[in-house]
Amino acid sequence: MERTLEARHSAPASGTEGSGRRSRWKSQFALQSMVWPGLLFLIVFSYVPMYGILIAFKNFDLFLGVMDSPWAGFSHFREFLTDPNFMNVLRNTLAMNLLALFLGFPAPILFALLLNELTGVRFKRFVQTISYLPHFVSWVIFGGLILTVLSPSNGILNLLIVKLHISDEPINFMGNPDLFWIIMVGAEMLKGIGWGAIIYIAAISGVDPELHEAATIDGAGRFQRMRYVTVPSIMGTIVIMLIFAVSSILNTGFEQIMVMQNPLNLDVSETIDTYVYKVGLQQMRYSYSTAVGLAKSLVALVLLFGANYVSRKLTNNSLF
Amino acid sequence: MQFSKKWIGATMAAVLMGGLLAGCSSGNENASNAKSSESAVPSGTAAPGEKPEDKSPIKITWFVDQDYYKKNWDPENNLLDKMITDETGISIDFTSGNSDKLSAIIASGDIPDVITLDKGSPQRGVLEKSGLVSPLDELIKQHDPDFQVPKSMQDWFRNPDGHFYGFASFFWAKESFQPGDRIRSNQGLYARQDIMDQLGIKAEDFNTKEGLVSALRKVKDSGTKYNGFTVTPAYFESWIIGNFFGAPREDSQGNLIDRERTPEMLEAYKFLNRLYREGLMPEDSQTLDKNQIQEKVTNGAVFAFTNRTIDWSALYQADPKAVFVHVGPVAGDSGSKQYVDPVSSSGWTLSMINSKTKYPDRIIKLFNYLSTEEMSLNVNYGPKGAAWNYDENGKVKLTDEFNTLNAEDANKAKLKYGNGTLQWLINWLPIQRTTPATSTEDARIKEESTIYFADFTYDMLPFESITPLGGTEEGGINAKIEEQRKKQRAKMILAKSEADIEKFFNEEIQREEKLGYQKLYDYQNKQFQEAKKALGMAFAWPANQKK
Repeated sequence: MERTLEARHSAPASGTEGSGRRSRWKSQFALQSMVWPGLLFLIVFSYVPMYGILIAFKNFDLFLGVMDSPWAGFSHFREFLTDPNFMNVLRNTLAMNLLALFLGFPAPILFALLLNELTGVRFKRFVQTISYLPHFVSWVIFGGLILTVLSPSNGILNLLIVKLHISDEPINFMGNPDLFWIIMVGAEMLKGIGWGAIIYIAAISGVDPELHEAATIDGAGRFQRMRYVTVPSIMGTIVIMLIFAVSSILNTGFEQIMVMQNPLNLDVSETIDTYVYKVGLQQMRYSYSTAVGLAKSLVALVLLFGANYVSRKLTNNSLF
Repeated sequence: MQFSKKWIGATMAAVLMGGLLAGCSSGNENASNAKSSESAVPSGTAAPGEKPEDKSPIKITWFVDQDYYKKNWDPENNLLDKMITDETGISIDFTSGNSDKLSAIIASGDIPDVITLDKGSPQRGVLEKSGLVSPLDELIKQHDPDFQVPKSMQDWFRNPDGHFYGFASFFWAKESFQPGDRIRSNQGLYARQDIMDQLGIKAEDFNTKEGLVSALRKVKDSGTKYNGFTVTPAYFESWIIGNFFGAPREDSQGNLIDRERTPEMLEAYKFLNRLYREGLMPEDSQTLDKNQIQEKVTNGAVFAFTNRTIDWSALYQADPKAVFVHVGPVAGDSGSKQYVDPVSSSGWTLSMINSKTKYPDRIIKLFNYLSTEEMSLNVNYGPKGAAWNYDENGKVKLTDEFNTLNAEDANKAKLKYGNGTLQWLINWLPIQRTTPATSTEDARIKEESTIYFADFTYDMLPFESITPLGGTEEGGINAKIEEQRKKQRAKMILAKSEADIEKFFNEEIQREEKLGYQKLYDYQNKQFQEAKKALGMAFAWPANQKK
C-alpha cells in the first residue's frame, strides 16, 4: 500500500509525463500485448455480464429481456430475508463453514508439514498421489461412496460396528441430524486434503535450506524446525488462503450437500445454496435467485475486506 | 533483436485473441448454416388450392425442446422415415435443445415450421399469445376438415381466445375410450407371492389395517431370509396409503381439497408410524431413493411395496417363483373407497405449427396422418409389415427380423425401424389395446396388476392444472412447501408417539401458512374451477359426482 502511494506521488516528479508514458508503453509492448487478451477476456466474460445483476431488482421475464422487465425494487431481497426458513439455512451455512474453517483449513497445512518431513521420496510421492486422487472424483460418486460406507443396512462401517459389538444396532449415520455437519466436514476434508496441500508443499519447497541448516546447528529438533522455520516461512501463503476461505464463508459446496441430503437431515443440511436452487432456480425464478446471489456476494466482499484488514494489522500479510 | 521480440509478443497475442474469439465465430457459423439450409428448401411446390394428395417432396423444420432427442431424417435406411416420406412427401429436419434454446428461438421471432414443447413449459403461453403459431382449429377448418381432434384435448388446451394451438402426445381422451380401455396407475400395493405362500398369507389379508399389520408381522417374526438377506416387511409411501384411505380432493361445494391436510392423510401417517414403531417399516424407508429400494427388491430383500415403477423383473429372472402380485389395497377407518392416482392424462408434449410456415396445409395433414391409430403403432414399433403385424386376435406381433435385430443391438433396430423415435403426436390407447400377447409369467402378472388397480383410478384431468407455472411467486411458494413437507413427513412417520404425529401435523399447517399457503391454495382452487368449467363438469371427485 505504502509503495503504491509513493509511486503515485513520484510520478509527476519525473517530468516528461506524456511522452514517458508512451515510451514506456512502447518499450513494454511485448509484455503488454500478453496482458491485453487477459484483460479483454475479463471484461467480456466477467464485467459485461454483470449488467445482468439488474434482474435482481426486476421481475425478470425471459421474453421481455433484462431491460424491459418491470422493476420490483427490493421485493426479492425482502422475500428471502423474511422467509421463515431464512434463519435455519443461514445457521446451517455458517455452522458448516465455520466447522470447515476450524477443522478443514488447518488440515492440509498439517498434512503438508508432515509430508515434508518424510525422508523416503518414493513413499512421499505415493502418499501425495493417493491423497490427490479423491479430488478428481466427482461429488456425486464420492458422496455415493460415503453413503454406501455409512449405510445402516449393508455399509461396511456398520458391519464392523455390529460385528465388533461396539453397538448392537447399526447406526443410521445419514439419518441422524446431529452427525450431519461433522460427516460433511469430514468428507470434504477427506476429498480435499491432498489437493489443498499442494500449494503449501510448493511454499515449503521454497523455504531456504540454509535456515534449516542453521536451526539444526543451533540444536533445533524436527518439531522445533517445523514450528520456528517452516511455519513462519509459509505464513504469507497461509494468511492469503485464510482470507480466501473467510470470504467464501457463505458458499457451501453445492453438490456434496445435494448428494447427502435426505428428509431426515434436511433441518441441518439445507444451506443457502441448496435452498435457493430448490425454490429459485428450479422454479425458474431467476430474479429471486439473482437477488440472493447478489446479497451473498456483498457479504463475501465485506468479509474479504474485513479479513484482509485484520490480517494486515495483525500479521502484516495481506492480499492488497 | 528488439524488433523480433516485439513481433513474437504480438504474434502470441494475436493467437490468443484468435482462440478467444473462436467460440463466437463457430456459433455464428452454425446460425448462418441453419439459415442457408432453410432458404434452400424448394419453394412454391405447395400452391394453395392443390389436391389434398399433394405428395411433392418438401422439407420442413421441427424443433423439439427435449435435450436428449436426436433424429436424423434418413428415408433411405430408416423404414419409418421412408414410409412417412413416401406417403406424405415430407422430410423433417429435426433440431432439439433445452428450454433456454427454445426461449432464444422465440425471442428471435424466426421459429421452425413445427415446435414441440412440454405442455407445462412457460414458453407455451408466450407462443400462443405471440401470433407465432397458428390456431390448429383454424388450420383444420381450412385445410383438413377430416382431422378429428378429441374434444377433451381441444377443451383442455383451449386458450382464453377460444382457439387451441397444440396437439398433445400421450393424451388420454376419455371420449375415445372403448370398453376395456383403462388408464393405468403407478400406485398400488404389491407383495411377494412366494413368501405369502410360505407363511400362509392371503391377498385379502391386506384389505384391512389389522390384516396388513399381522401379515407384515408374520414376515418379521418368521425372520424370513432370502439369499442371505433378511426380508424387510414393507416400503410404503405415505401419499399412496393416504389415497387408499380415501383422502378426497374436492369438498361438497366443489372446492379443491389439499389431500395432505385431510384426516385420512393424518390416519395414513399414524398407520405408517405404527408400522415403523413395530419394526415393520425401517427407518431408511425415509432416506433411500427409488433406485436403492429397487436394488433391495432385486436382491429379494423386500416383502411389500407401493411404488409400481419399482421393477422386479431381475428378481424373477433369477427365481421364477419370486413374483410380486397385487394385494389389498388396504382401506381406512372411514371405510371409504380406495383410490390410486392414474398417470397424467393430459399428455406430455404439445406440437405447434408456425403461422408463417410455407406449408400449413401439408403440415396439418402430416399431424393428422401421424396421430392416426395405426401411425401411433408404427411410430412405437416401426412400420407395419416390417416390424410388426396383427396376430389372429388383433394384437401386435413383432416380426422375427425385428426381434432378432433388437435383441442383438437395440440402437441398430432403432436406426432401421425407427421404433420409438417420433412420438410427438402419439396416442397410447391403440397401443394399449393391441399390446402383444405376453408369453412370460412376470409380464402376465404385471398386466394383471395394471388391470386390477385401473379400477381404483379416477378422472384426474381437472386436477392436472393446479401445479403453478415456473417463474411465478406461487411456484416459489409451492417449492418451499414441498421442501417443508418432505421433512415433516419423515418426522411424522418416524415419530416416537402418536401424540407427536398430531403435533407435527398441526405444526406443519402453521408453518405453511407462514410460507404463503393461502395464496398458493387460492391459485390452485382457481385453476381447478377453471379446468372444471372448460371440461363442462360441476364436480370432479367421484364421490361428489354420484350425488
